[in-house]
Amino acid sequence: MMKFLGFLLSFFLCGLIWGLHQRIPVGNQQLPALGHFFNPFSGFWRNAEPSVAVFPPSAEWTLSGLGGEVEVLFDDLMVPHIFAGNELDAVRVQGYLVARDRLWQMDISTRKAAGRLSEVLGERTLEIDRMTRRQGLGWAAERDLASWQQDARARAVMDAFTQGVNAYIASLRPADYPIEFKIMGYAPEPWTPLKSALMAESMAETLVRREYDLASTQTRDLLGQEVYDALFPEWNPEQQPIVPDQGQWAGLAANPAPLRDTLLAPLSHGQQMTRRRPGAPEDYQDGSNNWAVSGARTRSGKPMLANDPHLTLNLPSIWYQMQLHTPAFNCYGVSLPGVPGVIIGFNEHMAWGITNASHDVADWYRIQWSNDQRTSYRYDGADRPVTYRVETIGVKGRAPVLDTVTYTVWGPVVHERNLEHPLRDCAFRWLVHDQSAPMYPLVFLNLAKSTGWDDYRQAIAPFDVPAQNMVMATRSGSIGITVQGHFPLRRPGQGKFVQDGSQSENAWQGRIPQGMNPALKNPEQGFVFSANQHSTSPTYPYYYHGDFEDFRGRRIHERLNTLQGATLDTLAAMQQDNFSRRAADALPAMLHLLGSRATGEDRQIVDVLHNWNFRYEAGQRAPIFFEYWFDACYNATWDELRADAIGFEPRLPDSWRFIDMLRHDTLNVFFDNRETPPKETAGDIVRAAYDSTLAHFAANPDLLLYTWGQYRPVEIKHMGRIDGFGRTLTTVGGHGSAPNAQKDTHGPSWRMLVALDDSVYARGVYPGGQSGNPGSPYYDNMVDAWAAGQYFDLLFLSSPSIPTTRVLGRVRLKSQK
Amino acid sequence: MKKIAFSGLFILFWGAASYLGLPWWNTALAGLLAAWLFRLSPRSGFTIGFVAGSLLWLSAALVEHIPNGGILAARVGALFKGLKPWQLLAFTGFLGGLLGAAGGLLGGQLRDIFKKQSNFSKKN
Repeated sequence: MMKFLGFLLSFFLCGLIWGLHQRIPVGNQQLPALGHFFNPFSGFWRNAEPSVAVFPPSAEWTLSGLGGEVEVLFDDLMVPHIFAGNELDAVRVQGYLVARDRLWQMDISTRKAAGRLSEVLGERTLEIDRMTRRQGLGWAAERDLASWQQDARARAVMDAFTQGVNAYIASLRPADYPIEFKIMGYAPEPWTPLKSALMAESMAETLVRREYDLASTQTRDLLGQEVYDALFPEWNPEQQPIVPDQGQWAGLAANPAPLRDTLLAPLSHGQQMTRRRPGAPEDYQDGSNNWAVSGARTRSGKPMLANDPHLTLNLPSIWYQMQLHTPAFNCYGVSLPGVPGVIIGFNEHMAWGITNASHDVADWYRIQWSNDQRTSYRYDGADRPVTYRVETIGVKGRAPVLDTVTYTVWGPVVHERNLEHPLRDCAFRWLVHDQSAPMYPLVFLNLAKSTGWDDYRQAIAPFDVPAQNMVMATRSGSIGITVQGHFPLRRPGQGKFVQDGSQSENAWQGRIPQGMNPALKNPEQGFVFSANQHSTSPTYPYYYHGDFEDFRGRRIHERLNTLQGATLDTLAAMQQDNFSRRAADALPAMLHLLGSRATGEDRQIVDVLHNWNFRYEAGQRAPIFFEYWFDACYNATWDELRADAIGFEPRLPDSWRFIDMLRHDTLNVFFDNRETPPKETAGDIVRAAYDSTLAHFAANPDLLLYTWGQYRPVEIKHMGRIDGFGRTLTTVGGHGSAPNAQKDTHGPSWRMLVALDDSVYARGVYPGGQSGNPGSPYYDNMVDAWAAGQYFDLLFLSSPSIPTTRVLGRVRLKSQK
Repeated sequence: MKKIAFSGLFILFWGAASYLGLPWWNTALAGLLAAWLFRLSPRSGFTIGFVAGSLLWLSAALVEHIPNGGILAARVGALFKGLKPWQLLAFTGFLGGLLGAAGGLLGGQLRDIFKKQSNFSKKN
């Protein structure tokens, strides 16, 4: 009997061991197989790094393919300083080191861009992969890479970077894999130049995938053209453009002829998903700022440059700091893991920074099918056959899924599979699909070699997508900015709405000549700046539209315009300015319209708001009240455009337009609530919204105890959404409409300040750390300083032998030992 | 007594060979071999396997955990719904013990079976 029980136990234990070998589904997530994950010989424990970095006194690493010896210094932030004999060695070591710190991030970002998540994550990401592919992202990456292969230097750079990454991957045993591979249960695969191209496409998708063609078309069809144009003006007269009219465009070539009116049948409403949170649109998907000030405005008499690109904040961080030094150049800045070179940074002569130009370069064309099988379509009076691209989507745990995408002369018919989708019969024309310039991968390496305006202009010329506002300042005293990218030559008004795809004349008419890209060099005002706002004044001779910012640019312009004797501290304060032009415009008008309505206890909220300085500081309460009240006013005004009432997700007016109505147009017909007999005006709306605000906070008294920072916590999530690997902060101020455009999951992904003095001196910080390993002390070591508004001095070395106490370790990399 | 010490040490050493890239269930194999080679009964195979297996896994985890200052354990604990670092360590040790015990038990049982068979064959 005992024996029998013993065998039973034995079977049970064997079963248990088998169980430890399996991944465990928990809700939507999968926990790793416990046996694999917990074993201390190759599981997660092996990802624990010493809390104090230890480097042997004279470390030597082997990296095959190097032309000569490369020395790398690691500073106290674990930033590598690479001293190489030539550009290719520098890039090879960059690939090796960035893989060492960020391999899983590089893998998952490129999988996402290629629509290959399901290969490792299974069926739950299948639809994400399908949509990525149907938009033609992988197609675009293949085309770009083919172009880049045509330039010998570009190809050599991509190859050296790729080989550097792969040398690191080849050195790994399963025990060394980044922890995310262990959690998700897959292994790293070799890097390829295509993956670097996918990184570029993925950035483009983040920055220039925005268009409102469907919502705009349906909203216009509902309201009529005239009302639509009144609600959605293209120019905000109060905004300061990046490049003002200084007479430089007088008498220059104008737009192609306007579009002929083509009447398209209204789009079906279909079944659309409502994703928008109720309330005023935040207007500003971006939040990036950059500026350069001339010596006339600084205490040192030398130029300074500031840049804070805003993106979704993740861990590991989107950016990776490094210094690249060769006999031909010496630069420092942040790079994108997976792409050679430094994107935002400085060298010994100049500094540069970028913000998104935010032009709309994505259009939809309505296809007239020639037959029910949709094998051809009408184009200039003839039938034209479609082409197909078959996407093979690998799915973990089952057979691959084949998806056939129909391509037209315009581009892919993205939503064809979804019978209910209003854009089912529309093809997608996206600038990202156009082949980029062969020299594209060299843009930032050439910037690193630039010494002044002419070099800089030459370096950035091949940069086509995603268009950026590229600011620069030099030690020799120049400042400047270029709105750089490939911009379609549009007919006036073209691309705001879904267009007729049966006529070739509806296509973009080429591109705006590179020489006409808006630029500004050494203006009299002594500064240049951008904040994702309009590129130019309306007198610019070419038509364009986009998703332009309305408030930050005005605030930054106000401050730059009065700036005297600036130091880096002044610029730091400007980057962290929580003052909102939006609140400063709206709140006085709202309080005025409220009048003396509130009395007694009801004055509680009004008093807080009366005393507010329009700053979204973390410790304040007023922003909570204002946001709620403003949203309530906004929602009540646009009741005519409620999605559940009209059956589609409409385009909603920008905040600035609404505030303009509150201030100057209080009798506007939209203030009337159509469901009530009396004719409401702005005052009625504002007062009713105030009552509902009071009621809301009376019903939720605990909200009265919150500060703005607690009410709107900042979440820096792990890229794979792994619980416990992210950070939540409740002490961070800011708002999308303030220069410190901090939102809940989106904010300053890198803050950089550069003084172009006799030598270059710079500070920087990002909300993360150099290491992508959650088991490293360098995983999130800069987060707290970032949250507190602090910066780190950036260690910019002119040679590896400069004595400094900030260097923790030195490594020599050699091709052979 | 000696048998206990030697078989335990055997499990530790054979188990530590996992650092060479052997699969995670190598600890069970270590227990099995120890029970077989040192002629352990299923009961002592189980016990010695458990003690040595947990000791092996726990110490190997501590070798990583202590210099790390617990940074990783705090994050991984959150992934497992808020486990404390010591709970992760205990669970790691328990898993190692379970493997060692399973191997030891099975090894002892196999030993029993073969012993009987060899006795049987002698008799004939």
